[in-house]
Amino acid sequence: MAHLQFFAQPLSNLPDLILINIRLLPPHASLAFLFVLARPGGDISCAVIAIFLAKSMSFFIFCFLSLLLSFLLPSLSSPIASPSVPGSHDQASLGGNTNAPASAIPVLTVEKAASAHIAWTPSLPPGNPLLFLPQDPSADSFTEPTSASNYHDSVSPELGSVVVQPHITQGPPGTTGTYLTPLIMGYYPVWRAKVLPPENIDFERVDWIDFAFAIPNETFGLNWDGSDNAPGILMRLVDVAHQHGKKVKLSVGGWGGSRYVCLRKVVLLLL
Amino acid sequence: MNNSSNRQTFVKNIALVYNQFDLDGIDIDWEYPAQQGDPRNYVGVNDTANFLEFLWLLRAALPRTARISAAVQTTPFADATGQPMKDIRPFADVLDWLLIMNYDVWGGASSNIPSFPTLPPTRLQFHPALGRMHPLATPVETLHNQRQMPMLR
Repeated sequence: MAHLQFFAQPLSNLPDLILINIRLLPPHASLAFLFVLARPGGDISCAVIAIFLAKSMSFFIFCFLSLLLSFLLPSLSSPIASPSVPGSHDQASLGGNTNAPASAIPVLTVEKAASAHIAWTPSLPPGNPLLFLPQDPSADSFTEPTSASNYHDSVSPELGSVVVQPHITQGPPGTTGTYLTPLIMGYYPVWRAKVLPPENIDFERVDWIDFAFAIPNETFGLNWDGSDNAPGILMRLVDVAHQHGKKVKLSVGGWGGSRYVCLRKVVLLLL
Repeated sequence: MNNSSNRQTFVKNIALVYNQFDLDGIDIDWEYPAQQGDPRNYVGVNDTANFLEFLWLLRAALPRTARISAAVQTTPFADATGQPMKDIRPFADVLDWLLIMNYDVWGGASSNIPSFPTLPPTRLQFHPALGRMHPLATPVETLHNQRQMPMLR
């Protein structure tokens, strides 16, 4: 059972990818590979362990163990939240966010965006409608590519973006639809904290700030993106925002931080 | 979040951070469920369904006052066939709002967002995306416009 002990350590300690030479596998191991892999909610790393065990035991014992392992593995890897772990070099290299060139600062948009902001000021009285949404905006029947992935590059798009969020109010009698008044939300990319420390944010302009990013790691814990000081900066941001009566969300993921959202790291064994 | 155990672990870890930092909400910026974003991402065909399960778990784990949002493309999340899902009401039930990422349809930069004021109107601008989301998203009316604007004094 030395093999089991080997796999009981956190998956993050294991290599990222190891190749399997399928031709060296006995036939029932290949079958079992498919069987475990196809299990509902199956985890690829379970299947890999199954193959490893299959080399040295009978088919029936193997089937039993692979089934057992497929249920045990999530607890074996025992993920731990790691909010106090400062900045991950791995994440930094994933997203390129830390290396976003200075030209990514939307300097050119400042003037126009600032004037646009006036129309969206959050200090409007509640119930003062800014936008009316008909219930059937079928006029907007556009067809678009279903994926925008081809249009992306590695430059961070989030810097300084502002989102206007709706408060919901009832429309006047006799109308169908919903009047919206805005909340204003901005992402706060921690890798630009030196440019804009939390204390310098003009909280008159925002209702919510999304702190970017916490990044899921291969055991579904959270790492920080972009800055070794991210936890400290987030604490300062929450403090100063609450002092102004404003709110802070933590944004989990991001373009470079969505690697492990779907799945644990894949581990394949060299046999 | 490809199985129940992973989802619970993920939610537990997020809730820890939520409490540790006295946060007011969580934004899930998964780029993207059931669609390839960064080439290194792992993607599963059931991502969107799993995402919904995850969000309900997260909702249950956070205080009632917590706001939960998700970032979306200019089309709804992809379903198991890879196409934008037809009915996003299940997400509207669990989310407080969505963030339409129409700022990076063409990649991040200073002047290429579809809603950039000096660009001619295009079909990728914000309003069409809102039109796609809105009739599907009641009762949680989602989304609004976004513009690049540094939060400088």
